[in-house]
Amino acid sequence: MTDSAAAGENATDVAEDVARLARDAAAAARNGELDQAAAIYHILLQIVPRDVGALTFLGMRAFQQGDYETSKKLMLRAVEAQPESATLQQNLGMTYHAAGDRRHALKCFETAIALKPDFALAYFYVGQVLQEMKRLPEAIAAYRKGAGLNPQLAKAHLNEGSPPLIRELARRAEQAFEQHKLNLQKQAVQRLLASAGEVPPRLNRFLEQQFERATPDYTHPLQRPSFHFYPGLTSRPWFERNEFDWIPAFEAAFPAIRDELAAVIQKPEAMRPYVAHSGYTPEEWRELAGSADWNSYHLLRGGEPIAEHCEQCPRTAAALEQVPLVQAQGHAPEAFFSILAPGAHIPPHFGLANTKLAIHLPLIVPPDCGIRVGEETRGWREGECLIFDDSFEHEAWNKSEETRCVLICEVWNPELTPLERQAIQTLIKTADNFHRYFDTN
Amino acid sequence: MLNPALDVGVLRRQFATTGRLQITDALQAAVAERLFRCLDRDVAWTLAYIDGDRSVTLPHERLKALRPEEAAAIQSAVHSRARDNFQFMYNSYMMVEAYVQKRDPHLPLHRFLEFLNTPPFLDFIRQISGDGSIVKADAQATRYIPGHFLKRHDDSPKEEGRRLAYVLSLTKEWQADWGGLLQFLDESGAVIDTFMPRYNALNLFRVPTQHCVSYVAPHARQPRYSITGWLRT
Repeated sequence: MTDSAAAGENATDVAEDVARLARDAAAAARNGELDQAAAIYHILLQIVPRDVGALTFLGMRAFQQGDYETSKKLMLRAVEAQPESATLQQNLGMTYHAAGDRRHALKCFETAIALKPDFALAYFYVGQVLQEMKRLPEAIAAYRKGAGLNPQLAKAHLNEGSPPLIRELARRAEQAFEQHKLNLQKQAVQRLLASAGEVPPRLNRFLEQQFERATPDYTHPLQRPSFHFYPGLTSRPWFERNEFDWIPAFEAAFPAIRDELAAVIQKPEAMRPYVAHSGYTPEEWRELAGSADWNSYHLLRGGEPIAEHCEQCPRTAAALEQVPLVQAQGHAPEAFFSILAPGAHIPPHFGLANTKLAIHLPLIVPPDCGIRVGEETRGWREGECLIFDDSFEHEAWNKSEETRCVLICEVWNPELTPLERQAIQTLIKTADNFHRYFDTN
Repeated sequence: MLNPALDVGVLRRQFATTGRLQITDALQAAVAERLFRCLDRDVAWTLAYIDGDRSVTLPHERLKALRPEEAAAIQSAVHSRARDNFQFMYNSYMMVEAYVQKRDPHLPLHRFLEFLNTPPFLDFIRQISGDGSIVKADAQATRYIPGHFLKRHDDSPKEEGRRLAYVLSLTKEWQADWGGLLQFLDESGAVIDTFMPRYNALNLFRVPTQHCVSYVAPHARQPRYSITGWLRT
């Protein structure tokens, strides 16, 4: 046996032969004849041992079949043949990673980025490996970089059309962000509590529930807050006006507030549907999403005053300043005129948390309007506040021929101590800082 | 194309003890028959040997047109070099080159080369040899007629990636005294094992291994056919 090269071949002929072979292989692959494609590529490699197309096809195929050792060898040779290719580095990195060699995988992904600095996917792979190496802050930095370069990639796990590998990558990135956010929240809360003296047991229970992602021990079948359930608070849908010392002063502003509202509703273009259109609108909200049937005019949104609206309604703004509103960076307070069209019905739903109470100051109330919270239905009376815990199931309706208008804002659940409020604020603020940083970096 | 009755577990144990193995009835009978007929009738053989310091392949047309005195001169030069140096002489058909150049597309050899490179065959080899690094196979068809031989050598991997050598023997009713034996040698040059040419037998051995193909006697009544090559990383 020996290698006897065929005489009389020139380089051009070989190149043509190889190109034809590569076309045959690609055609076989397209037709789903993968074994045949693999065979042709194997034969091609005997003529051109470093044919990158063949090495990549066979390497990926071995990868898909879980044969990472073979895949690694092929990918390595492809990288040797084309060391400047970022994609080949990434392929090799994936193979190392699948074979459990994180150190080499990381090196490949980093090389890929060095070769192609805007290689978003490679940043995600770096993030994934670092995450597995328990180097979470570095993983987050890499994911952020990748998400900044390609925001779609960061949301790929929500997109059924994305390839499974990519979806998995995005899912892990989200997990890392969640974990990192929890870690930051833990650290911030620990700093707060370190200087706090005695910590109420229910606060510890609340924090545990947050950090362990445990299902809370709900105390009432109709109370299911969608965000925070604070244990140990009295489960009670309705509160009474005489329980709050600031109510009389607030209600005293009723005529002025009603007059400002009357001016606002003359300008429907200034209002917005309370329920925004979004890609994930649940069935029960479809009717109201994007609809003027439930309109809103915010003075405070996400904790920030809307300057133009506050100028438009200065006495309302001043009255709100007298109310001990919930303060939580990026989220609270919210205060708005809620304008419900004739015939509109807000379906039963749950609010975010039992740590705060909803305040309604009724401004214009036609007959046949009502609100159910938990098991008890009440009506609005102009100028008299309704106070309720909106973490109970609630719904509202306007069965009249006229528009119903209410000023809505929110206050702390009065049972919460200052330390408990600070702890909740710390959690929300840390998360908000985290999300802001993520969105802008 | 493989004979479905082969017992991979048994073959694997046999291979493990010596690093070589003769698998009898390796292919489905019809496949072996088609390949045999192809080698026996349809292949445009070349002549491979060493001339001076280099391997030469005398093309089929030249070989056919060779005058007797030219053939004798080649034979004599080949024998002369073989006295003191590595040498071989046999008919060859390089299957990979032919495949790539799409030469003789009607030959079943092309399909067989593809088969050698498909997962069913490569998996079979990987399982028997326990060598997971093997990913491809090259191939040439060979024909030894009287006066042909392959001197002792070890297939030492001057080309990287050779893990196993294989010889699919396609010669019917061979006799030992015709020569053409695949012989394995130890360091002292003693024969330690011999694989007879045998119809539809797949011979496998690890490389490097010292081996040779003994001189085919003038009285051999038929050619010694095989398809042979390396299984590579």
